[in-house]
Amino acid sequence: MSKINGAQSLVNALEAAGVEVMFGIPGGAILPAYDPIFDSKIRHILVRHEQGAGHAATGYAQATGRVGVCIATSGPGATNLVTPLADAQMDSVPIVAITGQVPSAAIGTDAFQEADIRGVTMPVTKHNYLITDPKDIPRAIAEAFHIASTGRPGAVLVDIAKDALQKETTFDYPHTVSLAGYNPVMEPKSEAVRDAAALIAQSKKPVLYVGGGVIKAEAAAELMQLAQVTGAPVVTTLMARGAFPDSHQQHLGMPGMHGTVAAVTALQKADLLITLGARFDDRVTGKLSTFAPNAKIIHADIDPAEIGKNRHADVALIGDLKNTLRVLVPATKVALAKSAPDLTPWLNEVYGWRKDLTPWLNEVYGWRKKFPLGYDKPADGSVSPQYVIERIGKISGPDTIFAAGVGQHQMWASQFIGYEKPRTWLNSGGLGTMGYAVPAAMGAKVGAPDTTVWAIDGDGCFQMTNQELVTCALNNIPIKVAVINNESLGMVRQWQTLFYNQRYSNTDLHSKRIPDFKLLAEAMGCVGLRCESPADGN
Amino acid sequence: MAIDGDGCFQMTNQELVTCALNNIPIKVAVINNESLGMVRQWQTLFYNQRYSNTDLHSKRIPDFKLLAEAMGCVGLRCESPADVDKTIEAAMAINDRPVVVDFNVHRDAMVWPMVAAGTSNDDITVARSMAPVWDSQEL
Repeated sequence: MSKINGAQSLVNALEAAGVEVMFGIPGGAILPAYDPIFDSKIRHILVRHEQGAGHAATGYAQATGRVGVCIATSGPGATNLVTPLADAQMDSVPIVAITGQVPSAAIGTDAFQEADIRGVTMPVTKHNYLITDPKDIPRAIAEAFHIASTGRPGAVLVDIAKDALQKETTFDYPHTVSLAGYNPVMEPKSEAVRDAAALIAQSKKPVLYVGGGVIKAEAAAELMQLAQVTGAPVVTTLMARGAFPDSHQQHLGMPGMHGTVAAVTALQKADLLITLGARFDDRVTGKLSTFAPNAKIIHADIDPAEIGKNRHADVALIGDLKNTLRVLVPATKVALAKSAPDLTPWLNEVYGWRKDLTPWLNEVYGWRKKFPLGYDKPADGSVSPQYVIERIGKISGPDTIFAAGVGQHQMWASQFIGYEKPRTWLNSGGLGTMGYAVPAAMGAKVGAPDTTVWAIDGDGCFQMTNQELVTCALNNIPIKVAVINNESLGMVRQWQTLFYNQRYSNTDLHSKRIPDFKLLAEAMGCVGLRCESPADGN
Repeated sequence: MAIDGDGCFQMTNQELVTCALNNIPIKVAVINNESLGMVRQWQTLFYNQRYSNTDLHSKRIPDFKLLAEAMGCVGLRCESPADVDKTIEAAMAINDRPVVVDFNVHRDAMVWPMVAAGTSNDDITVARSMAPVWDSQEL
């Protein structure tokens, strides 16, 4: 076997793992890897900040379902990846970060640009590695991609000492990965499936509580089948927007702090939550002890650690959601056939609506009609942010990918844009990372170049990571960015309005004065536009 | 006075907005060699001038002068040696706002002397492949 250096082995391994693009910045410790990257078929996009590389990898992964890859040097390059790693891990997004480390002999000496990034990222990654022997590189890369993309997806970091990149080695990529103690359960237990189906057949007030796991598992079609078989109303969490069409009559919208009245109330009054890849997050449950007080819980998740974490599960379905739904749908059909004898066969055949559900559905849909999502038009004739976001959704249509920052504009984008397809709504749900939108939109556009990609951003968020517009301009990544400029940290201001007597401490950004976003965009090689009146939105 | 590179400057320049809004009139010199210059120097010396991912194209995008102005600062640009002093003097004369000067500089300028990473200090070079000429036997 011919001798190559560790850096070439790394690039060979990334190619063998199927990587088509990575986002990064070179520096001293990772520099040996950049030489073979120069000749690789992998596209490397030189970003302007490592945080941008990490969020771009996340946006790419969320838009495509493939593993996103970012690469940085040691020390500050690596620590700049901490936020996007934590962000991806919280939202179960498969990304792999490659970082250079100081030479192995220097580790622990406070060497130049040394940071113990393995130690730093231990609590915010699914797994991580420190590689000091070049022969371990292909195995670590294969394992990293396997761990990131299987089971509950997540973030994996591979830190490689500079001397391991420089030393000679041979390349041997493992075709199969077997990890002791890591065997994600893919198929739910059949008795649990039967129990779940029996609970569904007993329920008069079921709700399908749908989380981001449905999108991760590519199980939207199977979810639709369960919705049709049960006839139960559906709520989609912030991470699940697009998993079930907003236009579907059974869809009540998003639950939680800024959810619809119908979705929140349906959960509160339900007698059964069919929980699919959701995690009873505090933003969904509110005060946990008062959440859905009458409901039994079916909890389907690939991650056994989620079962009972926040809410006791009456039935746990541990396994891949697509596999779970594939067996749960027919089992539910069987159970409904047994215990719902009043259901006429044709109703079962067409939509599976149950007669005994009809009053409940009327009640829920009644709430939806009574409390639709709405907003007031500003009395002074200025532009309402909801209107802008609603019009962007209407004009650009359901094939568009939307990436939001964090705050009010994110909530409005989740509320006032209709999502019909999985992977068209990208946001930072768990960590709530301001600055996510622009780099994530960049990554999504790289992964889906023929799709329109909008970043819906706030004036606060936008100023955190907009330098990646330079990357977009130089690398032919034509995203569109809507800055919803209310010259404030708007969500924090909303809390100050509601809970702090309108004492607006440090939330005024003055961003209708400085910066000039139009000029800023033009300085970065983009087209800059400004809209100041509602009439310009038509 | 911030002495910054075109790579570094693009990582954190949003704080110029903070400076402009809070009356913190700093001066920033962007030493713009349109490269991650130190990494490029290593590629020149140790990687056969294979400039993998160190070209930032930053004499083209962004427009640092415009960027500074968009952030409420004064933006200046200097492209010739004859303009260096007067540009600096112009920057020195402004005290009510932050000033950013985009100094367009030669991209192949290198930092010397240099002891290559991992080598002995005895192997210091004063220019490419050029060791100091010592007076007599030893220092």
